[in-house]
Amino acid sequence: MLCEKCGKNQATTHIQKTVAGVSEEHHLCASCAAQLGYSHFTFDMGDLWPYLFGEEKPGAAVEKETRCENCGMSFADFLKSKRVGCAVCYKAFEERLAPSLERIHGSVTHRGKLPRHAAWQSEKNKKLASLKKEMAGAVESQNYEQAALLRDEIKRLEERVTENE
Amino acid sequence: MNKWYEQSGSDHDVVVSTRVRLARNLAEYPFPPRMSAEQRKEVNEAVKAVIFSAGDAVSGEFEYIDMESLSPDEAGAMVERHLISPQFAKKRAGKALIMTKDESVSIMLNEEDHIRIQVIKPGLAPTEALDLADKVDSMLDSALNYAFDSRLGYLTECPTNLGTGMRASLMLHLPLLEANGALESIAGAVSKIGLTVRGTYGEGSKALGSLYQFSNQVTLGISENDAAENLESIARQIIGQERALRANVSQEAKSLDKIWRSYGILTSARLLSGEECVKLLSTLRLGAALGIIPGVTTEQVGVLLHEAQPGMLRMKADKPLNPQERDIKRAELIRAALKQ
Repeated sequence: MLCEKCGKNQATTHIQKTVAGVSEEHHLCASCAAQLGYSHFTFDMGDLWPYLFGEEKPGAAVEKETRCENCGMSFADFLKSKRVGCAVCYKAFEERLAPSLERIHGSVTHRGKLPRHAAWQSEKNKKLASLKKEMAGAVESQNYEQAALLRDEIKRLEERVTENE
Repeated sequence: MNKWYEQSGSDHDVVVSTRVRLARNLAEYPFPPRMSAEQRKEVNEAVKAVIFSAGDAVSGEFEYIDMESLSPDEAGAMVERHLISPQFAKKRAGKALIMTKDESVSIMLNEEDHIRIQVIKPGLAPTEALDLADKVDSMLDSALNYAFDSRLGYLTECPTNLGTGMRASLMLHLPLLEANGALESIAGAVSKIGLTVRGTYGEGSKALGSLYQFSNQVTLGISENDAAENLESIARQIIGQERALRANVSQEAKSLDKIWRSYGILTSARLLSGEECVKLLSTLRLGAALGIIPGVTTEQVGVLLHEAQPGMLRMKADKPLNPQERDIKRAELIRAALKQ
């Protein structure tokens, strides 16, 4: 269907208006719809972006610019492009992103699969916590020989950076 | 080898297909828009090396396609088969695709993220699709260094994919719910529990061919399995509602007439436009699912929905087609398929 106003573009905005019991229908292309002030009917994630990630209050004083050290992207660039430049951007923009992430996902903490390295790291932390508890127990019961062995084991594990060392 | 869409799946009367995709990035590189041509090449080569050194059982299944070597038409036909995204087909420089011969697993390289693993299965199969995607992911993880943060999960170019980076979607055929005007309220209800609905074909609010895609919106704070199960359980309720409405179709003269008329037009038309064809095939699919039209299966209709698309017709003809030639080819294809 072509736009009823310009007759050139595909009609993508369909408006049903009921005034005093009389209904009318209009079929417009995006640019004619915008001209007639109907643009807010399009519901694109992109249009919501400034509200999701932008300043809480439009027109609030501009803060000191936040920039990613790794790729040079600024927070303003991110708002414009809707994409971050590299993985390190998330560290640089962490504070400013957190409330928005909560709005999108309802949470800011990952649950689910871990990549191999992170899974090993998480196992390592668990193992360390349990060894430290064991060592404290050994000290408490004055079993110092056992405590020294555990201390060495903890040290070895703490120094391991990757799984295959 | 049979393509995935030629195979039969569970609950195929309503569920056309299940798709799972995982977004992954390599920690060493900026995201694709900020990468140099050289870096893109390195990412392509790194992923390719993992897949093709994994032993014959795996590497024999896959093929590597340099997207720059494809014509716009070949790439367009891949979009129509849901193998790649429209953006991926449009700007092909520095991009590559690794896919299985049955087209059920495809890995897009340097799309929005460095790596996008996609698995498509016929029918309702979120767990199976997720398992397979997970296997491919673990294989890549064993040799590559993924960008990951213990709090934000897998780091993706767009913050809406953070966390699992997983999008699971189901394509449902819902002609009766649509006719009852129930889709809008369904869309409203599922949006409250973190799912979205959109039409598969056509633009705007009305989905062409009554085909709707349901997918999870939330990726952070919910595990892959929970998100997939959530999607499946909601889908089961919608499938149940659609089936309840279909129960009387075989006894209603008007419905039967509509189904047989669709069959009549499809088996006799000499010109079929894309839009008319999708609408008629949708009605035929309903007839096939209810066993009203003997000898026509939902899988067969699924194959036709794929093959009757403009890019696919053009590839088959092996020459450019003007709109009328295309409509002729489309009508010929459908007549030939339904004659058997």
